[in-house]
This record gives sequence, C-alpha cells and structure tokens, in this order.
Amino acid sequence: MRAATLGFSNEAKHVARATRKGYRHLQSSNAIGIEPVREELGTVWEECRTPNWDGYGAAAVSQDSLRNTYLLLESLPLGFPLPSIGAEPDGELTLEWHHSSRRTLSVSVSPDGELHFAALLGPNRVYGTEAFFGEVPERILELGRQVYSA
Amino acid sequence: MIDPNNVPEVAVEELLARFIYQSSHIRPSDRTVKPNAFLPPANLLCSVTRHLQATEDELWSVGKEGARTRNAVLYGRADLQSEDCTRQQLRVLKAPVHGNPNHANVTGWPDDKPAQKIIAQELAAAALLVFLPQPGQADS
Repeated sequence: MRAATLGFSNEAKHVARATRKGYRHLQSSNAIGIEPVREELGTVWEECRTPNWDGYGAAAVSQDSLRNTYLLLESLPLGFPLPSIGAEPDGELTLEWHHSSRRTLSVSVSPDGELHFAALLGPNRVYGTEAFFGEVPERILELGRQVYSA
Repeated sequence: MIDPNNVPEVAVEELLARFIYQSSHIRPSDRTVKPNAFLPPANLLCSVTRHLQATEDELWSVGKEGARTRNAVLYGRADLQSEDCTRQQLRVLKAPVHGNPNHANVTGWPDDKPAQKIIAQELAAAALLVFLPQPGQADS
C-alpha cells in the first residue's frame, strides 16, 4: 500500500491510520481482496512446513517466508489479479500469476525479504531479484499485468 | 525396464518422468504442472525416471514405490523429453538405483535462484502432466 500522506501532524497521522484500516478492510473482502488466497496459503503452509514435503528432500517452509508472503499479498493493489500459492525445494513460498504456458510469472518470497522472479512472456524471458520493503516492486506489478495483457 | 547390467546413456529423444508428490505443484485451473515441480533440491540434482523400455504399469510402479517409501501421495507425473532439458543447457545423466534402473538425474543447474526459476518455467511449459489413473480407469 502506498503512503497516503507525507504529513507529520496529528491529523495527517489520523488520516493515514484510517486509510490503512479501510484498505485492510477491503483487502479482507472476498470480492476485491486477498481472502480467496489466504486459505490456499494456509493449506500450502500446513503441507510444506516439515522437511521433504515434496518427496525429493525439500527444506521446510519457514515462518519468515510465510510472514513475508502474507505481507506481499496484503500489499497487492486492490483488484490486482490474485496469484496461486506454491512452495519450492529451498523452503521459499511462491506466488504465481498464470495465463498460459508462455504467459506466466512466478515470484519466490525468501525469509529475508528477497523476491526472486521469473516470467515467460511469449518468446521473452525475464528474471531477476527485487527487494521487498513492504510494497510490491513496480517491476513485478508490471510483469503481472503483462501476463494477462492480450 | 532397462537391463540393470546394461544401462545406456540418455538419448535426446528419450521421454523422462518427474513424479509429483505435492498437490500444490499442479494448477487446478488448467491441470498443468507448475515450474516448482522441476526446481532442484540443494544438491542440484533433479530426479527423473526414463520411459525407455518401461511399460505404463512399470512407470507407475516406480512412482508408487517412491510414494510408499516417502510416506507421500502420488498425484501424477510430468513427462518431458530429454531434449527439453539439454535445450536449457542442462544435462541428463543415467543414475540407476536399486529397484529403478531407469533412474536419471537432470544436472547442470545454475546456482542463481532466478536463473533456476526461468529454466524450471521452460521445463514446465514443455511438460505434459499425466494424472495417476484411478482404480478401474484405463491408463491414459
């Protein structure tokens, strides 16, 4: 969520708090928020929080990865397409936006707040790492939009 | 299955199976496999089973035995060609194990996580997901 105000007065702080509260309320709604993926996140966490959850020696998903994934989901702009949740052998959780085999974006959320991403966009391949400081990096949002663009 | 005493090198045209033991590796929306299923563990060896000289029943037996020893559920397998791996600068090396002479490892993965992810996406895009046939259901 972007900062609602840069002011430091009591009134400005009150407005910022109220805005955040309203935003969280909207995020928790089934219609436009992240509620539909919360349950999926919980299911994947339950299945993958012990080692070897994939049968090939995967590391357990850590609580820090879970927390950062939740914060990342909460930071998505309202109305942004919802991802599906997964886990990786190194214990990181993933968010995936998938339209087709060659229009797909996967973002891994590390315990220390790094976002490793990879996207297939037609013939193009894009991959790299962005830091997560409480807001979804614009580069990742743009890739997510491109997944669903015609 | 391959004769354990005469295991050939893996050819580019061979089909490989990656058994799926985790439900979140499958996209319910279009019943395809996610790239996460191909990401290697810490030793950078992605375990697969070669189709070479194996019947469907024998392939599924390997997967079911894997599920039994892992105390896991077998959901299906993702089939891809060896060439799909070599096209990504990976290598497929024979690695027969007790009970599965068709076992092989996909090796040559980069250390860099984003580079691993983009390769796994390419493999997932090329793979065909085959669900475990239910009892009484003809093999697909």
